Amino acid sequence: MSLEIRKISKSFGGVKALDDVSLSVETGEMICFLGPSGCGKTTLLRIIAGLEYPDGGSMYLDGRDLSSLPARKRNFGVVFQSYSLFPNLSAAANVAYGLECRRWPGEKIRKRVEEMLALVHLGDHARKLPHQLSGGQQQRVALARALAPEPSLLLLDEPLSALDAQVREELQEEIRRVQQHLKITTIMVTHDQEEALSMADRVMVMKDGTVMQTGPPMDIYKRPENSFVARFIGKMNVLPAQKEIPFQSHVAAEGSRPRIIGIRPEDVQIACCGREEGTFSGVVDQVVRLGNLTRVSLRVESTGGREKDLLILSELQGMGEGLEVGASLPLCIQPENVRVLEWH
Amino acid sequence: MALSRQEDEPSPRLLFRRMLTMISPAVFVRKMKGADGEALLRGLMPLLVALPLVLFVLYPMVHILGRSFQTPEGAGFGNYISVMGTSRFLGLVYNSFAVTLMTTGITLILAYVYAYAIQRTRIPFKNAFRLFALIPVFAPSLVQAQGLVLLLGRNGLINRTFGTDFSIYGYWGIVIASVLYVFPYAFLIFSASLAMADNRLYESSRILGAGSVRTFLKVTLPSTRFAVMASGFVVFTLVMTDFGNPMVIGGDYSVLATEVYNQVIGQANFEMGAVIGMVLLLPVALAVALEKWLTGGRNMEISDRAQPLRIQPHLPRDLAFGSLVLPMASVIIAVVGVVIFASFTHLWPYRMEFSLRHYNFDVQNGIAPLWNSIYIGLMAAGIGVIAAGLGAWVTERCRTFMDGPLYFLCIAPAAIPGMVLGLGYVLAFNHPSSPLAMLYGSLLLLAVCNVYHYHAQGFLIASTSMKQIAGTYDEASAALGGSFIRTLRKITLPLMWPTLVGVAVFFFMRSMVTLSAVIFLITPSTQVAAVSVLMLEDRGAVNQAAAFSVCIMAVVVGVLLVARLLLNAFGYRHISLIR
Repeated sequence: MSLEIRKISKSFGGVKALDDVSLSVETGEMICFLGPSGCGKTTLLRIIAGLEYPDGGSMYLDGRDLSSLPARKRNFGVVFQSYSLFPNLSAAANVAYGLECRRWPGEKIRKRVEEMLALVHLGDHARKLPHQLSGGQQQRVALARALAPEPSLLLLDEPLSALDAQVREELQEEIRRVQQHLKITTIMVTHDQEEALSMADRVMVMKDGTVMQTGPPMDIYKRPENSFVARFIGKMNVLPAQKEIPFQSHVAAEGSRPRIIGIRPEDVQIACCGREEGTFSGVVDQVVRLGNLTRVSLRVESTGGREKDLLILSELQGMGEGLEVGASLPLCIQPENVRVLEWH
Repeated sequence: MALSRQEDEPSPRLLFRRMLTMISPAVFVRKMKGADGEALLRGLMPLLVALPLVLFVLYPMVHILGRSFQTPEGAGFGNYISVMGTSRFLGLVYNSFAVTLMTTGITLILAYVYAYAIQRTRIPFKNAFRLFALIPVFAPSLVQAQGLVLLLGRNGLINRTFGTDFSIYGYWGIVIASVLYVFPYAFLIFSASLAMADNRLYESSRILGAGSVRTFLKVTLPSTRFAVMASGFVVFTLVMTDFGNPMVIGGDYSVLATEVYNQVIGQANFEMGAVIGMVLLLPVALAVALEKWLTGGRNMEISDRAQPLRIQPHLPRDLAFGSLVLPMASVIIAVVGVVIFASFTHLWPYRMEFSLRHYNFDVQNGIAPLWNSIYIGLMAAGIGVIAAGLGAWVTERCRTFMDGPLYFLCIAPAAIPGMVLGLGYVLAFNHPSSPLAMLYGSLLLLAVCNVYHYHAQGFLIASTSMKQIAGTYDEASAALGGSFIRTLRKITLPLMWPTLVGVAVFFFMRSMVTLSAVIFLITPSTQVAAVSVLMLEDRGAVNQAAAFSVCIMAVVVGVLLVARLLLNAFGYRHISLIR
């Protein structure tokens, strides 16, 4: 099922939570809404689920208008951050709930519940009550419960953020596996960029109720379109554009000059480029060793004029032996690795 | 009984905006396009809650207000002028405040000490002491005066034994009886507040070198200040509107509450009764409003990282508090105990041999009033659970523009003295032209009156519990395709039922022991047990009155035990039944 969202807006008591958000989700795709808390990602998910009404805009599922359809008639599976398993019902009864609402025959329900619990590896826990299960197990049941009625869309609202790191990683793989196995169109909300980058087919980065950038994870990482995305996804040197730092001119719009540029730390090499363009001399300011990785910040002195000193972060593989604070080193930046983030 | 709202009230502006969105045509059409039976039903729910509240709270109040302005020369302030101009009236107001303020002061201090001893010291037999403090809740509201008269009255045990001529009737009699009457309510609030403490604060205080007095003044007292305010207002309201105790032990000392009774029952002067009722309403409504405004539901102020308090052993402290708590508990037990004892004597205090003759109830109506009370209690429990539960569900879950006004309507009865409500019922429903006149004189109306008299407390118990059930269950159910009826039936009610049992017990208990609201509504065939106690006491039939009181207590305790066992059997030990 494909989902088309057009110019959705929503305010809460005068504060704009969503401002003309548009998006289309392809059949079988997994898309992540990524952003800091308060960026409107959860509100958007809740509007898609029908738990919240938008102030304006429209939504279409395979061309069918959704705006007047209440949540219980949309046939979307929703998984909440707080698990929200019904505490008075067993795991199996929780999974069966949506099927009973749809008046499936008893035998069919029993089979489907068995099948769904097996899918999330909880076949042995069918009779347990939610409080007898661990957090990770509860969220698996919640996933099975959401998927049991064969929903046309799966919506996950920060499903893993209440879990500890190891369980989270396990479940990330699990959700992705199930999603690809069932080929179900899925939207997941998260504030964890690693989670978004590793799981999604496409990521939509949001800030203050607006979309900052949408695209495949590596595309967003490689080609951030603005300084917010640059800073939010991974680490990036966000610097004022200066004459000496080269960039590929083909991206320049007519008549505009770059104002802010971004360079990934791993693209700052501590070496000579072999030519003058892109080669700088920096003084080591700080060295942080993380074992397999070493972060070095280097101070590049300005060449005079109105320009200030630049502090550039570089990431090296390995322990970075021999690096010392105060040492003067050459560094190289290749023009193809420089992104222009803002224009004059 | 503390009336507290724990969530943020939407601002009036926001409320207004919401109302505008509701009626703006575009939104309305969008909401209605997908409307099905469910949406329609959901829209009707607030009305289902509001309608009975309007009918059984506002409508009688409008009647009593109207009646107070009704004079032989037409509508006007004549009644007010003729009442308020008299020195008798000023004396009544003075008396009421003198009794109420004195009682409030004494009760707050004693109840705080008692609660402190139970929550913050290591005195032995805490559970027993806790139970003793709560005894008065199980008894008809005038049992304290009854017990005091049996002990200290003209023909009381003390005067008879020692040949003295000591008189308890009057101001101090009322104050002592009232303190005993309201003690458990203040104790419950303090106890809940003192039970919550952050050990880290106390450790810091000790490490910083503060002594125990300083720690108390700087840490304990500030953290319980909302409880002090809340119980102050609760006690004030209860004493101001109580009339059973002043009737029995007041002698010639009259207060506003007894005056309403005298005007209406004694002189059939409904206008004057209505006027004094309105006068009584004012301080009570003010107290309730002030409590809401000052405490604003903040009497449960503690961070979620708090560590439970570890009470250090400290013998002198425990001895001191033990020596304070023991006499207090003894007085409570003695006053109720003497009533039980007297009911089994041949003729108190002349012939003290054992006798069951007062349990024959060879009085007018016999034992019937007790059965009436039980029927009324059961009906009130049933109606009360539905009213309070539905009110809580609609205000907590339905998210309509009527939430604010509905919430106000649900807790408004807290500000209405029982006598005023009862008088309002007489004026509103004892009228041939009233569409509900057929209710008048029925046990059902008495039950309804009790439900709406105690609606605020029942509603708050239910809505507090509703708040603890996460709203996401409703959303999860809706997302899975469940209708709200199914959610209610399969999820909300199964999670709520222990609390609802508590609400039912609450309404039953109050119906068994209350006097003030029903006193104007009873007819010879709908006499209730608590009123029987008052009538018998008034006639001097103290033994029979005592026997009736004992029967009421037995029924209440019996029901409490059954409910407790039921809840325990299902593993709900934490649901408290005594409120």
